Amino acid sequence: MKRTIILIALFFGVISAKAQWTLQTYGEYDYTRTSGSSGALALKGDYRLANNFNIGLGFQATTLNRYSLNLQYQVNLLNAKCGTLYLENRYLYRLFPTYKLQEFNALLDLGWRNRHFKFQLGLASRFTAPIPLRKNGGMEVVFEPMNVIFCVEGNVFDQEHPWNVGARISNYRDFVIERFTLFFYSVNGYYDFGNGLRITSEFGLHPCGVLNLSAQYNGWFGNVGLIWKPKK
Amino acid sequence: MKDMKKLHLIIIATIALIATSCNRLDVAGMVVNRSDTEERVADWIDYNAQNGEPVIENAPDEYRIYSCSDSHYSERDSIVPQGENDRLYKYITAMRNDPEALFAIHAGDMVNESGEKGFIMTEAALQYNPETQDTEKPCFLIIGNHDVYFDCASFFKQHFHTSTYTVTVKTVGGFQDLYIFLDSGNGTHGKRQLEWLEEKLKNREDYRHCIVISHNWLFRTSYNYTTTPAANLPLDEQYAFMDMMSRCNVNMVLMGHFHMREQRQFGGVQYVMTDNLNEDVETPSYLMVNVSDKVTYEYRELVEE
Repeated sequence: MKRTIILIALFFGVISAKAQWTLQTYGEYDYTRTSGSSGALALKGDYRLANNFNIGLGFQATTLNRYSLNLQYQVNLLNAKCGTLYLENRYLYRLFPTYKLQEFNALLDLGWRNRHFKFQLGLASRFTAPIPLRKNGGMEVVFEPMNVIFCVEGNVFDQEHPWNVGARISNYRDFVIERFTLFFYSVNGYYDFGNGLRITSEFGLHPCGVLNLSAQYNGWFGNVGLIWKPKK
Repeated sequence: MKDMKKLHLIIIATIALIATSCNRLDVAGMVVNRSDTEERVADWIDYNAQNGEPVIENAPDEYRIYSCSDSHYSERDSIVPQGENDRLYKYITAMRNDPEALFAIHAGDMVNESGEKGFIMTEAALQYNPETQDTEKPCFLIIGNHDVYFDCASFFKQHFHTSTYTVTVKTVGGFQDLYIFLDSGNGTHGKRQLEWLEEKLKNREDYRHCIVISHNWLFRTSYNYTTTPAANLPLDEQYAFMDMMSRCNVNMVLMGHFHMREQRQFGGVQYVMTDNLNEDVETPSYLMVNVSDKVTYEYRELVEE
């Protein structure tokens, strides 16, 4: 017990000494054939507590009356020349008042990143429930365990370069965790203005029925945002 | 040298595997659009406008319908009609010999490979046989994801004509029940079909019960060897669909796709997955839906027949 307390104290002692904020905001346009056009505004804060630990909080609201809250933390497990191995744990709550429905997702994945590439593979579980909860014949909560999630991302230049372009294939984004077989294909880029200010942009497609179904165009999204990382 | 031989063997085996599976696994169709839902639905609705939608008159107030899915006929896999031992034939015979049954449903995935053959076999298996079947009763079908692969949708159209339509049952007691059949072969119902569905559900209060049939199961609550790669609707569309089902007081949504039994109740709606009639399972089964003042269901194993 004592050993555990000492380890926890040491951990928080180390991480609080190196705290660093990153703030991000972006506006997004999204179009799908079935939902039509929508806009969204997202705010994200990332608090780097130490070289090996950071925690993030994000919120998104859309013009389709949908709201999402995301909490995540990342722990670096191994820092090597060839890259960093890390563990990520995310909790995403999404509220759909129009549909009288809510969902809660928990995600755990293992990732590896270096200056050009990022790979993530993990599992996500989801609870979906009506609003308000109904009790006829049970709580009517649908639990989906073990959805496989993945992300493959690459950039032309390393992350310190003043500008960059890259591409990403994944089945999840900041405020949505899709099923294994529904992919988001996107290209992204950024430009550094200096003084810790960076403009970012992403454009992507989200088809439906990729693997076991005959694929079909479904929609696209585009966003532009700013990242601000105050200098120490 | 040995390693090179091994590598060559692996390459040859991989090429052979791809070549032999290309008649069954539509690799390109997994990422490239073969047939667009919006265009197909326009075709189905055109067909309905010209030919009308089925109405079953003078049905008893209490009756039964049968529902199956995923029969996956495939010459290549030797999943071909077996005469009176054939699973789809046994299913349709059980329905036609059940005096309380009104009609049968096939909720999609009747084929498993490219070409027209699977559709021809399905049509043949469903044909009325007066020697073994008491009464000629219809089977209403919808398209599944495998029926869209390899640009097969044109064969479905040729043999079964429409996959977006309604069947109205008018009973002797003056009740009307509405059955709505949907196309989700590409993992989406599409804008036009959802608008059509909303329009049909506007008059929901005119009907005693409403049952919706679509191929693509909505949830990923269970796993087996077929569900792992199987796709669902995009989440946003799924939630909009579930909301519409709840708002319009739909009693039951019947689906297939995952080759297993599953039931979920959400927002007052029963979502039921019909098991499959595929030859590769030991206990193929179907669903018997009993319609009276309530809608109830039970799974029936085909081997019992």
